[in-house]
Amino acid sequence: MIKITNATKIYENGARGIQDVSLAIEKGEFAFIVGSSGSGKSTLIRLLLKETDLTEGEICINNEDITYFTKKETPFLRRKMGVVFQDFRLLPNKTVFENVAFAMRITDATNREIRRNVPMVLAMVGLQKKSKAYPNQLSGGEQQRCALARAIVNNPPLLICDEPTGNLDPDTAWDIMNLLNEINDRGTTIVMATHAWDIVDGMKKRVIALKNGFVVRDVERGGYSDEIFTEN
Amino acid sequence: MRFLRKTKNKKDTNGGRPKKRVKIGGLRPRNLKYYIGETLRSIVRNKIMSLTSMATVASCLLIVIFSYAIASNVNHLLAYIETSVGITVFVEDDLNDTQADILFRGVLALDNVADAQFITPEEALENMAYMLGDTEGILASFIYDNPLRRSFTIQLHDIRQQRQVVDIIWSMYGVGNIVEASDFTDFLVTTNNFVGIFSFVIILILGVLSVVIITNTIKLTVASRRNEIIIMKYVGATDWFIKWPFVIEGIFIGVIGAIIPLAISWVSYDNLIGSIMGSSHFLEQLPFRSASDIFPIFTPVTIILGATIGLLGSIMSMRKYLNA
Repeated sequence: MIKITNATKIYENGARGIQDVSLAIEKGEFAFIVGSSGSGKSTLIRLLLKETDLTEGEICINNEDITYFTKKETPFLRRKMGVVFQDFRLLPNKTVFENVAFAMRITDATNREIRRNVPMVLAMVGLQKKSKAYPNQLSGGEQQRCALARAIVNNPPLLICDEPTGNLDPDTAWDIMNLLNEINDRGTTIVMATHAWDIVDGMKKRVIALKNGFVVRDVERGGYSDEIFTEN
Repeated sequence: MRFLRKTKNKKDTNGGRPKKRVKIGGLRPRNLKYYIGETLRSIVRNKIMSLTSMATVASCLLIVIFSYAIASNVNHLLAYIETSVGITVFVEDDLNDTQADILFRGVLALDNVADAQFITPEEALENMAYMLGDTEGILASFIYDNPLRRSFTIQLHDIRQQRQVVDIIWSMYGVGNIVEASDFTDFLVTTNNFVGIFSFVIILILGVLSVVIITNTIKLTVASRRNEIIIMKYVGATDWFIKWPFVIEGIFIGVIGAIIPLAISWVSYDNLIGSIMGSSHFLEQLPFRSASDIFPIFTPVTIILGATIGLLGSIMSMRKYLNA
């Protein structure tokens, strides 16, 4: 699903984002990207979203080399992946339904398809009764559920989550993680950058740890920190 | 551990681009309803700003319309005056009526002369009284001591041959004076050109001003929705998918900004011309253009101008945020 080869990102100010990173994430995998601030997690996410360009190396997603994708091609790449952010990033002037429908509308979905699929996805994330609410009328957990519904409504093969539980209380965070687990069980590949050690430790999924831009750990079913990390 | 070996990836032959050329989002009828809905929501949400833009465009286009109306009328009047000016030949006072008649026939027989009218001193006085709006008969008191000469006005086939005709007439016996219009004609042509250039410059300046104002207004709208645009881009919206509602908003503001001054000027134009013509007998005789002459042409031009101003304004204001 994702193949990163010798990827290095050096910003214009000389700061090093990631250095010589090579890794592969298979279809259907659930991988946590962990590391302290400045370790390169965000750079990696930004590179996968084609928000910034590599300095060296290559990134392939779904057998497509996205390294040289142009600005015009980037939206079409992003449609093949769902994105969930820490700060939800919902369109404030649209209802829950419209937020989710927006992701379908940009793919030229018909109104009929939108009317059919959006309620289905909202039901899946438990927001069917809030479809007419605006983001500011929702709790943090509900907003993240809405963002998750938007991310999966087009049934993307890849879901990228950037600290999706960062703004949520522990219980709500676990609700979201259970949803993500459910989505992963249906075959969607999930890459999640996080600081939440309890979630990483509790999920027992693949953990890729970054430090100073280098991959320092990559374990199949690991924990957040070195002390509790055991390689299976 | 799942580190990959540093194996060289097989490069594709398409410079890293996907093999299938991706579609670039355009205006699709399916999305048109959505775009229009978004436009109307945005206008309602930012109603003060939208109304300000419409009022600004309307003010600029109102001045443009009046500049055009003035230029069009001046042009029309000058064209009318150009065709009606001819040569006026004044007969020497010493000539008797027979000699004056011989001179008149001689002039009429010239090659380039299309027509000529003999004007007696009495007719000349009457014409002057009418032209000056002398309703109280002040000029009528000169009827027994008429200072005006006998004259005849000549229309030429070709106004450009005026100089040659005047030279021939000067060589004829009994010519007291000739008032020719060559200098005046040159003046008219120069004035006409000046009014044309002046109104073009006014229209250009106001057009640019409108674009700048509408750009700033839409920039404010776009800036207030900057986060939304970023979110839309993350979700995979193409630049044009994001742009269309703003473009339609710009065009909408421009078109409404054009319709308002058109309606105002169309309604008030005939009344304005009527009061100008009613202010003097001289002006009353001039063939001003009516609203039905001007507006059928000017309406689509103004609406297209308004739409173009809105379009340019919205595209210019979007550039910064879409490149971010």
